[in-house]
Amino acid sequence: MADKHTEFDRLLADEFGADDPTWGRVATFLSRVQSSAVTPSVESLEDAHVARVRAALSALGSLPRAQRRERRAAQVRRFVLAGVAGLFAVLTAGAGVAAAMGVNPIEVFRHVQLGQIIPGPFTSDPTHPVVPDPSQRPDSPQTSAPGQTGSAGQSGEDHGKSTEDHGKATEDHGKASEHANPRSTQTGKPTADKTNQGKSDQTHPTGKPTATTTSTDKKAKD
Amino acid sequence: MPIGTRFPQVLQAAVDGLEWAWVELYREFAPPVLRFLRSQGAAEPEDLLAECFVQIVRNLATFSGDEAGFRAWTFTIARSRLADSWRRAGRRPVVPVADPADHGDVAVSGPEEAMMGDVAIAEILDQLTPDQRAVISLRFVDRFSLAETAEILGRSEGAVKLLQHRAIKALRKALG
Repeated sequence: MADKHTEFDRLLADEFGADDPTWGRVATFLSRVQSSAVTPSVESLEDAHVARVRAALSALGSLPRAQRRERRAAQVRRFVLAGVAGLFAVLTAGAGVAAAMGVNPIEVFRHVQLGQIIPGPFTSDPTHPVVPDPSQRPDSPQTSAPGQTGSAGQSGEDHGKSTEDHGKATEDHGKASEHANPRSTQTGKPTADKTNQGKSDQTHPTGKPTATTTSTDKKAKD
Repeated sequence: MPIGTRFPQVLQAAVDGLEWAWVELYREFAPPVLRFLRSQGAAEPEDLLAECFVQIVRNLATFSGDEAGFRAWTFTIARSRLADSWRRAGRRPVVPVADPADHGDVAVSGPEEAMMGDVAIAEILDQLTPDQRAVISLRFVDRFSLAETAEILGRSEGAVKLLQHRAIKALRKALG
Protein backbone atom coordinates (compact mmCIF):
# COMPACT_ATOMS: atom_id res chain seq x y z
CA MET A 1 0.00 0.00 0.00
CA ALA A 2 2.87 2.33 0.85
CA ASP A 3 4.23 1.96 -2.68
CA LYS A 4 0.82 2.88 -4.08
CA HIS A 5 0.73 6.01 -1.96
CA THR A 6 4.13 6.92 -3.25
CA GLU A 7 2.86 6.41 -6.79
CA PHE A 8 -0.08 8.66 -6.03
CA ASP A 9 2.24 11.30 -4.63
CA ARG A 10 4.42 11.01 -7.71
CA LEU A 11 1.33 11.40 -9.85
CA LEU A 12 0.41 14.48 -7.87
CA ALA A 13 3.88 15.87 -8.36
CA ASP A 14 3.73 14.92 -12.05
CA GLU A 15 6.96 12.95 -11.77
CA PHE A 16 6.05 10.10 -14.12
CA GLY A 17 7.61 10.44 -17.52
CA ALA A 18 7.05 8.81 -20.85
CA ASP A 19 9.45 6.02 -19.93
CA ASP A 20 6.72 4.24 -17.98
CA PRO A 21 3.89 3.75 -20.48
CA THR A 22 1.17 2.69 -18.03
CA TRP A 23 1.84 5.33 -15.41
CA GLY A 24 2.60 7.83 -18.12
CA ARG A 25 -0.89 7.45 -19.53
CA VAL A 26 -2.42 7.95 -16.09
CA ALA A 27 -0.24 10.99 -15.44
CA THR A 28 -1.18 12.48 -18.81
CA PHE A 29 -4.84 11.85 -18.14
CA LEU A 30 -4.68 13.54 -14.73
CA SER A 31 -2.81 16.55 -16.07
CA ARG A 32 -5.49 16.82 -18.76
CA VAL A 33 -8.16 16.71 -16.08
CA GLN A 34 -6.39 19.55 -14.32
CA SER A 35 -6.04 21.70 -17.38
CA SER A 36 -9.61 21.12 -18.56
CA ALA A 37 -11.03 22.14 -15.21
CA VAL A 38 -11.74 25.75 -16.07
CA THR A 39 -12.96 27.90 -13.22
CA PRO A 40 -16.45 29.04 -14.21
CA SER A 41 -17.59 32.63 -14.02
CA VAL A 42 -20.21 33.45 -11.39
CA GLU A 43 -20.88 37.04 -12.43
CA SER A 44 -24.30 36.22 -13.83
CA LEU A 45 -25.24 34.40 -10.61
CA GLU A 46 -23.80 36.89 -8.15
CA ASP A 47 -26.79 39.21 -7.80
CA ALA A 48 -29.29 36.42 -7.21
CA HIS A 49 -27.05 34.54 -4.81
CA VAL A 50 -26.05 37.63 -2.82
CA ALA A 51 -29.76 38.44 -2.49
CA ARG A 52 -30.31 34.99 -1.01
CA VAL A 53 -27.38 35.56 1.34
CA ARG A 54 -28.96 38.89 2.37
CA ALA A 55 -32.28 37.17 3.05
CA ALA A 56 -30.53 34.52 5.11
CA LEU A 57 -28.72 37.21 7.08
CA SER A 58 -31.95 39.05 7.88
CA ALA A 59 -33.61 35.78 8.88
CA LEU A 60 -30.64 35.05 11.10
CA GLY A 61 -30.97 38.50 12.68
CA SER A 62 -34.58 37.88 13.64
CA LEU A 63 -33.86 34.41 14.97
CA PRO A 64 -32.42 35.40 18.37
CA ARG A 65 -35.50 37.53 19.14
CA ALA A 66 -37.80 34.60 18.42
CA GLN A 67 -35.59 32.32 20.50
CA ARG A 68 -35.64 34.77 23.40
CA ARG A 69 -39.46 34.95 23.27
CA GLU A 70 -39.73 31.18 23.19
CA ARG A 71 -37.30 30.80 26.09
CA ARG A 72 -39.27 33.31 28.20
CA ALA A 73 -42.53 31.49 27.48
CA ALA A 74 -40.91 28.22 28.50
CA GLN A 75 -39.68 29.79 31.74
CA VAL A 76 -43.16 31.08 32.58
CA ARG A 77 -44.63 27.67 31.80
CA ARG A 78 -42.08 25.98 34.04
CA PHE A 79 -42.72 28.50 36.84
CA VAL A 80 -46.49 28.02 36.71
CA LEU A 81 -46.19 24.24 36.63
CA ALA A 82 -43.70 24.25 39.51
CA GLY A 83 -45.99 26.55 41.49
CA VAL A 84 -49.03 24.35 40.96
CA ALA A 85 -47.04 21.23 41.83
CA GLY A 86 -45.62 22.91 44.94
CA LEU A 87 -49.04 24.09 46.07
CA PHE A 88 -50.46 20.62 45.56
CA ALA A 89 -47.62 19.10 47.58
CA VAL A 90 -48.07 21.59 50.42
CA LEU A 91 -51.83 21.01 50.49
CA THR A 92 -51.38 17.25 50.49
CA ALA A 93 -48.81 17.37 53.27
CA GLY A 94 -50.89 19.82 55.28
CA ALA A 95 -54.01 17.69 54.92
CA GLY A 96 -52.05 14.64 56.00
CA VAL A 97 -50.69 16.38 59.09
CA ALA A 98 -54.10 17.78 59.98
CA ALA A 99 -55.71 14.36 59.61
CA ALA A 100 -53.02 12.82 61.79
CA MET A 101 -53.76 15.42 64.44
CA GLY A 102 -57.45 14.54 64.32
CA VAL A 103 -58.52 17.73 62.66
CA ASN A 104 -60.77 17.90 59.65
CA PRO A 105 -58.48 19.60 57.12
CA ILE A 106 -61.32 20.88 55.00
CA GLU A 107 -62.74 22.73 57.97
CA VAL A 108 -59.30 24.11 58.76
CA PHE A 109 -59.05 25.50 55.27
CA ARG A 110 -62.50 27.03 55.51
CA HIS A 111 -61.45 28.88 58.61
CA VAL A 112 -58.14 29.85 57.12
CA GLN A 113 -60.07 31.42 54.28
CA LEU A 114 -62.12 33.38 56.80
CA GLY A 115 -58.96 34.56 58.43
CA GLN A 116 -59.59 32.70 61.64
CA ILE A 117 -57.03 30.39 63.14
CA ILE A 118 -58.86 28.29 65.67
CA PRO A 119 -57.17 25.13 66.88
CA GLY A 120 -59.11 22.05 67.78
CA PRO A 121 -62.19 20.31 66.38
CA PHE A 122 -64.71 22.24 64.34
CA THR A 123 -68.29 21.83 63.44
CA SER A 124 -69.38 21.37 59.88
CA ASP A 125 -71.06 24.74 60.08
CA PRO A 126 -68.51 27.47 59.48
CA THR A 127 -70.72 30.06 61.14
CA HIS A 128 -70.78 27.99 64.30
CA PRO A 129 -67.27 27.74 65.71
CA VAL A 130 -66.70 25.92 68.91
CA VAL A 131 -64.51 26.68 71.85
CA PRO A 132 -62.04 23.81 71.83
CA ASP A 133 -62.38 21.26 74.58
CA PRO A 134 -59.05 19.49 75.12
CA SER A 135 -60.67 16.65 77.03
CA GLN A 136 -62.77 15.69 74.00
CA ARG A 137 -59.83 15.17 71.68
CA PRO A 138 -59.20 11.57 70.71
CA ASP A 139 -56.26 10.03 72.52
CA SER A 140 -55.44 7.63 69.75
CA PRO A 141 -54.73 8.82 66.22
CA GLN A 142 -57.55 8.68 63.76
CA THR A 143 -57.63 5.61 61.58
CA SER A 144 -60.04 6.93 59.02
CA ALA A 145 -59.05 8.53 55.75
CA PRO A 146 -57.88 12.13 55.88
CA GLY A 147 -60.97 13.35 54.06
CA GLN A 148 -63.35 11.75 56.55
CA THR A 149 -64.08 13.31 59.88
CA GLY A 150 -65.04 10.11 61.60
CA SER A 151 -68.19 8.04 61.98
CA ALA A 152 -71.62 9.56 61.89
CA GLY A 153 -71.97 9.01 65.60
CA GLN A 154 -68.80 10.85 66.33
CA SER A 155 -69.73 13.79 64.22
CA GLY A 156 -73.12 13.73 65.78
CA GLU A 157 -71.52 13.80 69.20
CA ASP A 158 -69.36 16.69 68.18
CA HIS A 159 -72.35 18.48 66.88
CA GLY A 160 -74.16 17.70 70.08
CA LYS A 161 -71.33 19.03 72.14
CA SER A 162 -71.21 22.12 70.11
CA THR A 163 -74.88 22.59 70.54
CA GLU A 164 -74.46 22.02 74.24
CA ASP A 165 -71.67 24.53 74.41
CA HIS A 166 -73.70 26.83 72.36
CA GLY A 167 -76.59 26.45 74.66
CA LYS A 168 -74.37 27.46 77.50
CA ALA A 169 -73.19 30.41 75.58
CA THR A 170 -76.74 31.41 74.93
CA GLU A 171 -77.50 31.19 78.58
CA ASP A 172 -74.72 33.63 79.22
CA HIS A 173 -76.51 36.02 76.89
CA GLY A 174 -73.89 35.91 74.26
CA LYS A 175 -70.95 36.53 76.50
CA ALA A 176 -69.09 33.37 75.61
CA SER A 177 -70.39 33.29 72.10
CA GLU A 178 -69.05 36.71 71.55
CA HIS A 179 -65.60 35.34 72.19
CA ALA A 180 -66.23 32.23 70.18
CA ASN A 181 -67.82 33.82 67.21
CA PRO A 182 -66.49 37.15 66.16
CA ARG A 183 -69.22 37.49 63.58
CA SER A 184 -71.78 37.69 66.32
CA THR A 185 -69.75 40.45 67.86
CA GLN A 186 -69.79 42.26 64.62
CA THR A 187 -73.48 41.97 64.09
CA GLY A 188 -74.33 42.38 67.75
CA LYS A 189 -76.88 39.54 67.51
CA PRO A 190 -76.87 36.58 69.86
CA THR A 191 -75.06 33.57 68.39
CA ALA A 192 -77.90 31.23 69.21
CA ASP A 193 -80.23 32.97 66.82
CA LYS A 194 -77.77 32.70 64.06
CA THR A 195 -76.32 29.25 64.46
CA ASN A 196 -79.39 27.35 65.47
CA GLN A 197 -81.81 29.52 63.65
CA GLY A 198 -83.70 29.77 66.88
CA LYS A 199 -84.56 26.08 66.88
CA SER A 200 -81.91 24.64 69.15
CA ASP A 201 -83.01 26.55 72.23
CA GLN A 202 -86.62 25.76 71.66
CA THR A 203 -86.32 22.06 71.05
CA HIS A 204 -83.56 21.44 73.58
CA PRO A 205 -83.89 23.92 76.33
CA THR A 206 -81.58 21.83 78.49
CA GLY A 207 -78.87 21.96 75.92
CA LYS A 208 -78.81 18.22 75.20
CA PRO A 209 -76.72 17.04 72.28
CA THR A 210 -78.37 17.17 68.94
CA ALA A 211 -77.05 13.68 68.24
CA THR A 212 -79.74 12.26 70.45
CA THR A 213 -82.33 14.06 68.46
CA THR A 214 -80.92 12.88 65.20
CA SER A 215 -80.77 9.26 66.27
CA THR A 216 -84.32 9.53 67.58
CA ASP A 217 -85.40 11.00 64.29
CA LYS A 218 -83.74 8.15 62.44
CA LYS A 219 -85.46 5.61 64.58
CA ALA A 220 -88.77 7.35 64.03
CA LYS A 221 -88.15 7.25 60.29
CA ASP A 222 -87.31 3.53 60.40
CA MET B 1 -6.54 35.58 -6.19
CA PRO B 2 -6.73 34.74 -2.49
CA ILE B 3 -7.95 37.39 -0.08
CA GLY B 4 -4.70 36.97 1.84
CA THR B 5 -3.85 39.03 4.89
CA ARG B 6 -7.20 40.83 4.83
CA PHE B 7 -9.05 37.57 5.34
CA PRO B 8 -9.57 37.92 9.14
CA GLN B 9 -11.12 41.38 8.68
CA VAL B 10 -13.32 40.18 5.84
CA LEU B 11 -14.42 37.18 7.86
CA GLN B 12 -15.24 39.32 10.89
CA ALA B 13 -17.21 41.73 8.70
CA ALA B 14 -19.12 38.76 7.29
CA VAL B 15 -19.88 37.55 10.80
CA ASP B 16 -21.16 41.06 11.57
CA GLY B 17 -23.47 40.77 8.55
CA LEU B 18 -21.84 43.36 6.31
CA GLU B 19 -22.83 42.77 2.72
CA TRP B 20 -19.55 43.87 1.12
CA ALA B 21 -17.75 41.10 2.98
CA TRP B 22 -20.19 38.51 1.71
CA VAL B 23 -19.75 39.76 -1.83
CA GLU B 24 -16.00 39.42 -1.47
CA LEU B 25 -16.26 35.92 -0.03
CA TYR B 26 -18.67 34.94 -2.79
CA ARG B 27 -16.39 36.20 -5.56
CA GLU B 28 -13.44 34.37 -4.07
CA PHE B 29 -14.95 31.02 -3.16
CA ALA B 30 -18.01 30.54 -5.37
CA PRO B 31 -16.17 29.75 -8.66
CA PRO B 32 -14.16 26.75 -7.37
CA VAL B 33 -17.18 25.44 -5.47
CA LEU B 34 -19.30 25.69 -8.61
CA ARG B 35 -16.63 23.87 -10.60
CA PHE B 36 -16.51 21.12 -7.98
CA LEU B 37 -20.30 20.77 -8.00
CA ARG B 38 -20.34 20.51 -11.78
CA SER B 39 -17.52 17.96 -11.83
CA GLN B 40 -19.47 15.80 -9.38
CA GLY B 41 -22.51 15.64 -11.62
CA ALA B 42 -24.86 17.87 -9.63
CA ALA B 43 -28.20 18.19 -11.41
CA GLU B 44 -28.53 21.92 -10.68
CA PRO B 45 -25.11 23.15 -9.55
CA GLU B 46 -26.09 26.85 -9.52
CA ASP B 47 -28.95 26.21 -7.10
CA LEU B 48 -26.69 24.10 -4.93
CA LEU B 49 -24.12 26.90 -4.90
CA ALA B 50 -26.74 29.31 -3.56
CA GLU B 51 -27.77 26.74 -0.93
CA CYS B 52 -24.12 26.40 0.06
CA PHE B 53 -23.79 30.11 0.73
CA VAL B 54 -27.03 30.22 2.68
CA GLN B 55 -25.64 27.38 4.80
CA ILE B 56 -22.37 29.26 5.22
CA VAL B 57 -24.33 32.28 6.48
CA ARG B 58 -26.10 30.10 9.05
CA ASN B 59 -22.98 28.28 10.24
CA LEU B 60 -20.36 31.02 9.99
CA ALA B 61 -20.45 31.68 13.73
CA THR B 62 -19.17 28.15 14.31
CA PHE B 63 -16.18 28.54 11.98
CA SER B 64 -12.71 29.42 13.17
CA GLY B 65 -9.57 29.26 11.08
CA ASP B 66 -7.61 30.82 8.27
CA GLU B 67 -8.39 31.26 4.60
CA ALA B 68 -7.27 27.76 3.62
CA GLY B 69 -9.44 26.34 6.37
CA PHE B 70 -12.38 28.43 5.18
CA ARG B 71 -11.89 27.16 1.64
CA ALA B 72 -11.93 23.55 2.83
CA TRP B 73 -14.97 24.33 4.98
CA THR B 74 -16.93 25.72 2.01
CA PHE B 75 -16.14 22.54 0.09
CA THR B 76 -17.30 20.46 3.05
CA ILE B 77 -20.63 22.28 2.96
CA ALA B 78 -20.80 21.91 -0.82
CA ARG B 79 -20.17 18.19 -0.58
CA SER B 80 -22.86 17.90 2.10
CA ARG B 81 -25.37 19.80 -0.05
CA LEU B 82 -24.46 17.61 -3.00
CA ALA B 83 -25.09 14.44 -0.99
CA ASP B 84 -28.43 15.89 0.11
CA SER B 85 -29.38 16.60 -3.49
CA TRP B 86 -28.53 13.03 -4.44
CA ARG B 87 -30.67 11.74 -1.61
CA ARG B 88 -33.55 14.00 -2.67
CA ALA B 89 -33.28 12.84 -6.24
CA GLY B 90 -33.05 9.23 -5.08
CA ARG B 91 -30.57 8.33 -7.73
CA ARG B 92 -26.88 8.10 -8.35
CA PRO B 93 -25.09 11.17 -9.60
CA VAL B 94 -24.55 11.53 -13.29
CA VAL B 95 -21.30 12.81 -14.67
CA PRO B 96 -22.14 15.51 -17.18
CA VAL B 97 -20.88 14.76 -20.65
CA ALA B 98 -19.77 17.85 -22.49
CA ASP B 99 -21.30 18.66 -25.82
CA PRO B 100 -18.80 17.49 -28.50
CA ALA B 101 -19.67 20.48 -30.66
CA ASP B 102 -18.33 22.79 -27.97
CA HIS B 103 -14.97 21.09 -28.04
CA GLY B 104 -14.60 20.41 -31.74
CA ASP B 105 -11.68 22.76 -31.99
CA VAL B 106 -9.56 20.91 -29.46
CA ALA B 107 -6.23 20.26 -31.07
CA VAL B 108 -5.31 16.61 -31.10
CA SER B 109 -2.11 15.27 -32.50
CA GLY B 110 -2.42 11.52 -32.06
CA PRO B 111 -4.62 8.71 -30.83
CA GLU B 112 -3.49 9.13 -27.22
CA GLU B 113 -4.11 12.87 -27.34
CA ALA B 114 -7.47 12.31 -29.00
CA MET B 115 -8.41 10.06 -26.15
CA MET B 116 -7.83 13.01 -23.86
CA GLY B 117 -10.64 15.14 -25.28
CA ASP B 118 -13.12 16.49 -22.73
CA VAL B 119 -15.76 13.97 -23.71
CA ALA B 120 -13.29 11.16 -23.24
CA ILE B 121 -12.24 12.57 -19.87
CA ALA B 122 -15.86 12.62 -18.73
CA GLU B 123 -16.44 9.10 -19.96
CA ILE B 124 -13.37 7.78 -18.18
CA LEU B 125 -14.22 9.58 -14.96
CA ASP B 126 -17.71 8.11 -15.21
CA GLN B 127 -16.18 4.71 -14.59
CA LEU B 128 -15.14 5.80 -11.10
CA THR B 129 -17.38 5.78 -8.07
CA PRO B 130 -18.65 9.20 -6.83
CA ASP B 131 -16.18 9.16 -3.93
CA GLN B 132 -13.25 8.22 -6.18
CA ARG B 133 -14.23 11.03 -8.55
CA ALA B 134 -14.42 13.43 -5.64
CA VAL B 135 -10.96 12.40 -4.46
CA ILE B 136 -9.46 12.90 -7.93
CA SER B 137 -11.12 16.30 -8.24
CA LEU B 138 -10.20 17.49 -4.75
CA ARG B 139 -6.61 16.24 -4.85
CA PHE B 140 -5.66 16.98 -8.48
CA VAL B 141 -7.81 19.94 -9.44
CA ASP B 142 -8.36 21.82 -6.20
CA ARG B 143 -5.08 20.66 -4.67
CA PHE B 144 -6.38 19.92 -1.21
CA SER B 145 -4.17 18.02 1.19
CA LEU B 146 -4.97 14.52 2.35
CA ALA B 147 -6.28 15.83 5.68
CA GLU B 148 -8.43 18.48 4.02
CA THR B 149 -9.83 15.95 1.56
CA ALA B 150 -10.67 13.62 4.43
CA GLU B 151 -12.45 16.48 6.21
CA ILE B 152 -14.43 17.44 3.12
CA LEU B 153 -15.53 13.88 2.45
CA GLY B 154 -16.20 13.18 6.11
CA ARG B 155 -13.87 10.20 6.13
CA SER B 156 -10.63 9.20 7.80
CA GLU B 157 -7.30 9.82 6.09
CA GLY B 158 -6.82 6.07 5.76
CA ALA B 159 -10.13 5.77 3.95
CA VAL B 160 -9.13 8.58 1.59
CA LYS B 161 -5.80 6.87 0.88
CA LEU B 162 -7.69 3.73 -0.01
CA LEU B 163 -10.01 5.72 -2.29
CA GLN B 164 -6.99 7.27 -4.01
CA HIS B 165 -5.43 3.88 -4.58
CA ARG B 166 -8.60 2.40 -6.02
CA ALA B 167 -9.23 5.45 -8.20
CA ILE B 168 -5.75 5.21 -9.73
CA LYS B 169 -6.16 1.48 -10.22
CA ALA B 170 -9.48 2.04 -11.99
CA LEU B 171 -7.91 4.74 -14.19
CA ARG B 172 -5.00 2.46 -15.11
CA LYS B 173 -7.47 -0.20 -16.11
CA ALA B 174 -9.61 2.24 -18.10
CA LEU B 175 -6.59 3.74 -19.88
CA GLY B 176 -4.99 0.29 -20.17
